[in-house]
Amino acid sequence: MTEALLGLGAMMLLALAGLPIAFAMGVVGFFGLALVRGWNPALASAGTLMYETGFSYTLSVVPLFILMGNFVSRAGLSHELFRAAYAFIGHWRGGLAMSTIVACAGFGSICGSSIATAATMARVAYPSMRQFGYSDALATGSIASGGTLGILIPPSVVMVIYALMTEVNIGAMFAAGLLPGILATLLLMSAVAWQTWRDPASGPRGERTPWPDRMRALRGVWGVILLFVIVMGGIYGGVFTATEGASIGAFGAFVFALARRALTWRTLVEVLVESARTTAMLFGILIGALIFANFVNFTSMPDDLKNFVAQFQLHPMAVIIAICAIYVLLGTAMEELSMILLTVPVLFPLVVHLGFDPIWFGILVVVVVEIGLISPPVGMNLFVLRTLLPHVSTMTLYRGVTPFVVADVIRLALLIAFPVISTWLPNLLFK
Amino acid sequence: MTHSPAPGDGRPELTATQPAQKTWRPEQALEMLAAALLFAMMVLTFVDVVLRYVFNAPIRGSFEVSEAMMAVLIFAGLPMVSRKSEHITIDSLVRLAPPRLRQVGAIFVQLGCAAALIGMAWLLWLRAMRFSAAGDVTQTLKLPIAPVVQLMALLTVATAIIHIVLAWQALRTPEGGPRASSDDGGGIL
Repeated sequence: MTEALLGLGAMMLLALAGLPIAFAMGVVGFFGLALVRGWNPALASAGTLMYETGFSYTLSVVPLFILMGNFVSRAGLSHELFRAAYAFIGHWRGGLAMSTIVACAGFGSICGSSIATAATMARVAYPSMRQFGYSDALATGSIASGGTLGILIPPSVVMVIYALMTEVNIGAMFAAGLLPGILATLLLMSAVAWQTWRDPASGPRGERTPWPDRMRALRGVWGVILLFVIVMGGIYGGVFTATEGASIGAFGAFVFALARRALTWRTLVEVLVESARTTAMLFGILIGALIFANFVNFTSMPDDLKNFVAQFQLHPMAVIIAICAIYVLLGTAMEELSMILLTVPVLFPLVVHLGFDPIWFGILVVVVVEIGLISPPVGMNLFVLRTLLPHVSTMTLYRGVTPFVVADVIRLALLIAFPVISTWLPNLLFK
Repeated sequence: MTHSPAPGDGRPELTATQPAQKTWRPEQALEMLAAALLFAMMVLTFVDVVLRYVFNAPIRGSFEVSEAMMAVLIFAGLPMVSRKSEHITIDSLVRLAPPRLRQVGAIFVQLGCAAALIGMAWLLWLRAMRFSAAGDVTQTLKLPIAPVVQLMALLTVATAIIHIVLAWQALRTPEGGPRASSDDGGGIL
């Protein structure tokens, strides 16, 4: 236990001193393993991890889903999605904010990134909401929180990373995200309803759209539906693997962007290079995290954690609630991706040992990341909006997002209390 | 923590403000390499799936080629990530430090990264030598593995050199020069 804690301490110290997290994890993991097991095993395992993480067909699912998301963002389908959602629910009180959330959910069904979803929707939804006199707080809150649906509704890069770390089936993970995603959409819409019930002026009704126009608006999003049905349907139905699905998704999104004249030679290269950089950055962290996890697993920490829980006769549910509470608190101040990469390898064996479904825990992890992304002071989606909408004050952003954070915490509680929401579909499809 | 605009978030107006740097030609070569690899990977996997399911005729050895492309893609991306200081970094404490200390810290961080990368490159190179000596080839296509691993090692060295240059820049500019400014999960979250 002591070695692992010293390692964690050293790692945090180096990270706080400004060393990139990937390097901090890798260096401490390497030297830690060398001290625990000897230099030769440490050198051998670092070399093997690096080589095998690179040469991995399964891992090529990561750049392909990242590429799909970037093509989709470039294709700019957000406008059509927003219009379709608006056509159906825009005339409700707070209808434009609700449309924003539904459009985000739709965008999330073909894009696996929260930041991309929020950034894309901001450009379409914010001007419309301003035009109808929505308050900045409600407008930005709905965009920031809607964006997080991008990583819960499959495909999701975070889910892929969790699945790779824990050796859970990626398809099952994607299936698990669907119902919680719908639940999340409904809860976020409820948060809008609650806010506009308290202050009707903050979110006036839009115009009612007649049915023929609704159908026309729906036709604008056929591409999104097609792409989702092919990629997710294929993975759910076991027609192809996640990697194959990702390549079809990326190719489909590429054709889309091409057909919509959203790609020039230069922007194509830009999208590819961007995706390559993100991939390299992610794999840097992945290799670092694997080296660190390897070290932790050679210490007594995983067993000590189990003994600790046994010794104090903690209820398994209490452990899960504690883990989630710590995640939510840490997520307010920490970068979420590194939080997950650092803690999941340590906590996962304990969670499985307590008899919980790894897929269910994965959904909880994604949800706490979502909460972290919108919870002040350090929420990535808030930073994105601050960059895109510089005239909106930070306090307004914080105020606007608060009801949505509450809705998210309620969702987390529901998902903990009713694991069946997460496990029903994957059990149906993959067992 | 500071936040740079995240790559991959679909904001053309923000990405368009970073034109390719004319003074750094090698980087553009790397960019083209990475772009070509990723595009080829996408097309190869896609065509392979279509051929397999529709015509029942998969491309022979496409797995192996994908794997090798994946490996090079990652290591070709590393220099770009380092060059733009896009590694996820916690810099909330660093920003509170006095300029002098920040400068010293930045130099040490860059040199630390360089040292770690040189170690990695060395490990990869040893492995490449081993593959080369054993004459290891891929299973189906019988392509030699060693050159790919050598390329990975060389790209890692290139990344280390970038960090040394960044250390030099930190030495020359008070406050530690260009600060690592990406703790935003760069397009992943």
